[in-house]
Amino acid sequence: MTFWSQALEIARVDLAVERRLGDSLRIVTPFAIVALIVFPLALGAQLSLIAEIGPAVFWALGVLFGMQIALRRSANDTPHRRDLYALIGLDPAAKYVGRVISGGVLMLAFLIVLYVAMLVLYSPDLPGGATWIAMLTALLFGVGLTELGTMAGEVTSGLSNRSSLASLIVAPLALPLVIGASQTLEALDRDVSILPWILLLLATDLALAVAGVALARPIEESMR
Amino acid sequence: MTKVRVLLGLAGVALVVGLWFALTAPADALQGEYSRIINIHVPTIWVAYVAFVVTSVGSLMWMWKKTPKWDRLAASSVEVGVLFTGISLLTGMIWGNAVWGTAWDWGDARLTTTAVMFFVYLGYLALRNSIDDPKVRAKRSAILGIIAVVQVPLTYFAVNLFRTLHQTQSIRPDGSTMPDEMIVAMMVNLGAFTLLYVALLVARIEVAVAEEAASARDTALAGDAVKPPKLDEVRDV
Amino acid sequence: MSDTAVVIVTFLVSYGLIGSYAVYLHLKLRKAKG
Repeated sequence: MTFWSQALEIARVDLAVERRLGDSLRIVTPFAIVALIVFPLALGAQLSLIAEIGPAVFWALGVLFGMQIALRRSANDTPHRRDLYALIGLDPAAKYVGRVISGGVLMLAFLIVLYVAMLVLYSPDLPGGATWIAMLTALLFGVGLTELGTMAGEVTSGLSNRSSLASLIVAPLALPLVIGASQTLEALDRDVSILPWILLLLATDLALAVAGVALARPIEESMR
Repeated sequence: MTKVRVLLGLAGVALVVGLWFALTAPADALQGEYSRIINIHVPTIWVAYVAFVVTSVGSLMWMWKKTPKWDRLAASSVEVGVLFTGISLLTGMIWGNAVWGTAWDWGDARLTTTAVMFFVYLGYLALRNSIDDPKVRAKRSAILGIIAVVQVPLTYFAVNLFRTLHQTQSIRPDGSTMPDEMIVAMMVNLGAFTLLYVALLVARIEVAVAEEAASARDTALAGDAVKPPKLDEVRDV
Repeated sequence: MSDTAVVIVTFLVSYGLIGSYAVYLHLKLRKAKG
């Protein structure tokens, strides 16, 4: 199998497993929506303030809950699975790319649902074309977060404190993504160029892709 | 006198000299006594940056050579770096609050990046703490070290860009308009803290070597579980 | 708290943290050497 067919096969299997286990859409997404509800109630804020903070809260929750999708159970390989992958000659880099593809799909679905919930609950006053820009941004944001989360998940694989430790590792490293995504919408709102922010997101995604592919084999070897 | 004690002793003396300079330099006209804090805040952040660069080098060298000394260097440097980063953030916040009224400035790329580094390397230490096997630990730490090297500069760049949309005041003590005596004081302290970093780094590496030797001693030998048969308990059937 | 007091406390806390770390390392070394 070629690199890409391996990657796509991993992505396909991943999504099939996720459909059965279903943490991402059945647990993480509802939890994130609950968090959306927590903010205005905790702030006790005026409606106008709630409307203003809508997009910001969306990105903040997007990163905090999104990383749980990147760290999902179905992406956490057991030693048996690793042995199987080694035996069939799966390229670790292809596995990484495949995971990023499947994670990216799940992340995008999650972000879309969260965005719609935010629109409904916060009624933000968004400039024209905001939703399309938000979707593009969500894609770049989601891919970057998935790349980061996949690597962090591997580095903490097999550890008993995996979920909390991996989250601690991902959160500060995800800041360029948060800044890029949230500032894209803000730039749109202020009628300023969104290009620097989109480029920041692209640069981050690219850097993480290169790092992920380059480190895939060492990461796989560190499991033994 | 061991190497470590000599270094620590020298560092201690240098710190005392630095402290004397810090306390006797003239106070800033505007900031008053608070300007003295710069003598801790700037040197510690400088040393922290050096420490994390050393960690990156150590991680990369370990990935290449796979010798334990690079892993020890990287990990020890992180510990000392986190200590200095914490002190720098603390002193910076005290200074910022006293002089500018706010402990934090979101538009200051250095400040936010420093905070990010603090938590990233705290996570690095937490990761190391969670893994017993030294080889696995070394590998995974090196990987995190390299991911950090990629992402942390991006954070700096991102926050700098952030400042273009949000004009915030970002005049942190960098000493650009200081009188000569204050510059001298800061330079002396810079030297003292650098010496302290080296001393603490060497000390921490020594501890790491001792701990590895200790765990090698304590590791059970394969075959310990096989015990000789208790022949006197065997009954002839 | 006066300005000078805050500055003194800042210095004390900073050096105190460094000193504590040095002591911590010393204790760890003693424990490792057994």
